[in-house]
Amino acid sequence: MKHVFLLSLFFVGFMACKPEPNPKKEYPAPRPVTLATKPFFPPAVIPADNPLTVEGIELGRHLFYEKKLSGDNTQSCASCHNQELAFTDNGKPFSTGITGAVGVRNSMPLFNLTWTNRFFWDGRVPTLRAQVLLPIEDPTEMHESLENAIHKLEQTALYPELFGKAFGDEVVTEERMAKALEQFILSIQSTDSKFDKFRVNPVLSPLSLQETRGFNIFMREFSPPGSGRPVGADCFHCHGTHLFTANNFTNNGLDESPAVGFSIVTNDPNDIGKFKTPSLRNVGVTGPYMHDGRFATLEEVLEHYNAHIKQSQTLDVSLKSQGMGLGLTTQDKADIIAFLHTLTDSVYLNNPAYKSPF
Amino acid sequence: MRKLILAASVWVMFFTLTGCNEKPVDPITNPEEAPVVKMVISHEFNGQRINFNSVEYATTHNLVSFAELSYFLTDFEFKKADGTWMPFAYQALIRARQTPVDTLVFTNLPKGAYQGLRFKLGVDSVNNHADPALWPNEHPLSIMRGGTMHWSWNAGYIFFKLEGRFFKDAPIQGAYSYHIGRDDLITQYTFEDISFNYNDKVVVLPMRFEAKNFFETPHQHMMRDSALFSHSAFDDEVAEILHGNMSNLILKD
Repeated sequence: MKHVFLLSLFFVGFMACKPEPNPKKEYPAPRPVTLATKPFFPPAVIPADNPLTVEGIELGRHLFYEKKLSGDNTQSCASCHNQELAFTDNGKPFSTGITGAVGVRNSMPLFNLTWTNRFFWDGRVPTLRAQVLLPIEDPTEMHESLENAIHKLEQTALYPELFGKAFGDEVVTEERMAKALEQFILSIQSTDSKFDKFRVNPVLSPLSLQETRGFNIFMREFSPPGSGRPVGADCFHCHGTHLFTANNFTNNGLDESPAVGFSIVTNDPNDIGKFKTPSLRNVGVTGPYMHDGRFATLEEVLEHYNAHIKQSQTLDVSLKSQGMGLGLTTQDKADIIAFLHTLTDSVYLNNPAYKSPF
Repeated sequence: MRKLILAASVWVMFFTLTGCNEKPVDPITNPEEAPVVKMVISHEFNGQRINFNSVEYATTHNLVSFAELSYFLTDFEFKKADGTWMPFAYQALIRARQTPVDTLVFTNLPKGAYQGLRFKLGVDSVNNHADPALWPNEHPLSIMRGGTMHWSWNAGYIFFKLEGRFFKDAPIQGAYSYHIGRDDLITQYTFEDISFNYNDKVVVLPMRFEAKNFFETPHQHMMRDSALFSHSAFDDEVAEILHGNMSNLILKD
């Protein structure tokens, strides 16, 4: 009897120590954040119902690096999105989830998502907010129910307060998790590459001769070999503008029988084999390449476009009209790659604001 | 029982007939809408609405299909009753694959009598070479709306983009890609035979984009290896020839 009494006392004492969200505790209004407008970049697109705040971004950063969101508390979003590699998965073609299951798509880089509008390689999710919670529940990734994830966050001393600071009270919800993650990921910007510095002041920050030649080949239209015109790789049609993506979906000739791709969204057979055109910013650190990570190096990627385009019904007409290939020499490809490396942004790759808070 | 069947048949007949009885739509006025002037452009080939990607159309020399048709219309002007042209600030990015029948809505056009309309296919030199990032994201000239319609650092905007495939006079199915855009390749359209009174009703100006003319009016264009694409370089003969056909693309319907 004495033992039962002591056990009960211990239990009551333990439960009293367990933190509980306090929905009535009041917090000051979160402080708004305005993303700086950088030269040559369009205005950032922020959802009207989820303006960026210091506290919202900070909560999102914690959630992004929080392993409690996975089924066995071993993986976070950051496990497959490493900042030092533009938030890609450590050179792997596919990511491995907590059960050892392997995914089917290459982990996408994360930056400048204020200027994109469909998510995943096949564009099947229209908003970042809808996208961010899916890997948590995916059995091949973090394999955790949102209900459990919320429960685990509620049990901590940290998260109720972070939710309170971000949203005014300590209630943890799916929507708030999604909004905080959305805020953090939208705050991740890459705008300080060597090329950006060159654009702002070409005299103070020039490109080398090789980089300049690579830039010109990248930006020049294709001309058939023997036409007498300078060689052009015609990259800019899909990877143009200062974002280095036209934000389109394209069949870039990887397979004669291409995968479903964007047609999963449109139900249009003309969209079979089309995948999101990624930005080429930081492309020097985001390998392997393509939606399935089939190319290990940029040299392989360029050789694909140079001479190995596969014909199919939905092949992009710009690639189809190139017929026998681009006709790039080894030097041309090296020059383009030299230029692509000027898009690597070490400020972003090392920005402490994007690093783990733990 | 027979009476029941007869009654049911009459009802079915009644609903079938009334279901088919669509009210004719007055193309000029619709009293339920706020007064506004609209220009409606239907994208057609030889008078038939273009079916992108799936239908082949016969030009004089080739069978062609269409994968992409996009263009900018800018510098609108309305001719007033006194014969002067009134500039009307308006720019549009037409994406015919997504919107085969596009409607441009001219809000804030002053009420009055008009006897003409003109506009340009293309972007004026100042805007063409300005930083496209300076436009608000919802503006037609923003790269957020027309990212595939800008030549990045080369030459400004692609004024007109027509892409697709062709099937005749080629050993295998081929593709064409025509990108027209250069300061001297702007196309002006002038319609002096359009007149309307804009007072308290909706006014609709029906137009037709006739893609067949791009390939054969007045210049006959044959798909061949040296003429399958154009990027409007300064020595680009294909661009010059096709630009010569572009003044016949948009017609009063």
